[in-house]
Amino acid sequence: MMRRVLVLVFAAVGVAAASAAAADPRDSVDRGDRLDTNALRDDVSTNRLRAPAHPLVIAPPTQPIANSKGAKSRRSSASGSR
Amino acid sequence: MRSSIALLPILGWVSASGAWGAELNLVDMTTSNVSVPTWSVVGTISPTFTDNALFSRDDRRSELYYEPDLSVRLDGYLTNDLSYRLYARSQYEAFATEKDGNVAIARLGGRLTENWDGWRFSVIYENRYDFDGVYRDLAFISNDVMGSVARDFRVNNVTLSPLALLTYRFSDLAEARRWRFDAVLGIEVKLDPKWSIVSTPLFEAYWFTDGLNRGRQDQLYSADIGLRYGFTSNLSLTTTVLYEARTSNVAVRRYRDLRIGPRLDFAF
Repeated sequence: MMRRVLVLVFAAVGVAAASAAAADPRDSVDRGDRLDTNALRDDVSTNRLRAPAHPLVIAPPTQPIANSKGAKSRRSSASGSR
Repeated sequence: MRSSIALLPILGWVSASGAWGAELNLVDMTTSNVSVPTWSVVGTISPTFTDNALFSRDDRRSELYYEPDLSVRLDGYLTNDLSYRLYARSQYEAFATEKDGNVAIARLGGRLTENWDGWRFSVIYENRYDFDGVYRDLAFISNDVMGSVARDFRVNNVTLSPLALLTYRFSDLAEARRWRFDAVLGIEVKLDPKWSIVSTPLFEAYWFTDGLNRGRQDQLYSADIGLRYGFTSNLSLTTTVLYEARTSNVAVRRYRDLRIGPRLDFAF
């Protein structure tokens, strides 16, 4: 009986030690850093895509008729700057 | 419990303002202009084979893993040359059998980009939550402050997109605090309207500042080549072969890795 208890105690200590070894915080940091590098590569790919115009575009505020000419000239200068 | 607490600010952010994106401005959002903020969902899905699942120097294990990377963004302009982006981003790696390699990150961030004579200068703040497993246990919380400069060069059918990025990470885990420098060159060679050859060689340098990692310095070299097919302007499939090697002044942190796999990129 005593021998079984000792075996169980040593087994529990062994499992705990293995878990502690696996829980090196540097491993979590390294895994996260690798995802960051992948994210950087993903950005290169997704930024080459052109998001389509769709209903999720928030509508601009309605402009009074008297200001429509000014608004139009502002927008054309914006597109010209890119 | 800790991970549940970590999700609260995420939900709060979503309900309060809701917007996000990744992060590095390699190309302007073509749907944006000064007065119209634009929502978008962009992402990447990439089942991949690796010959070093645990990126270990000595314990190399071949494995398949699945890595979705999804962002929700709000892009807009403050002036003609100054743009902003708010974003949320979810990304994880799930391995077929090596579950110890599973990892996930949730990010919330904001970015300001100034266009100056073709160059794009960005400052970025990112609040991030790193998990062991696929959103299983919260490992640490970090705040990244970044600055980057990027530009596109187009010559005939070739587009070159160099980017330099400097980051400091503040974190509740001492081992995660570090400086990081990235130099990336996005290359695209258009073969015809649908097909392209693409590559993204990069170099990274890390200077860890605290905890068990204090004094550690890593360098990462990566080269890849892929063939991309664009289904539409917002959906493409790329098959890639990638080689990556990390050197370090901590010998056990060195590794090399070969990865092969397709990736589906989308923007809506």
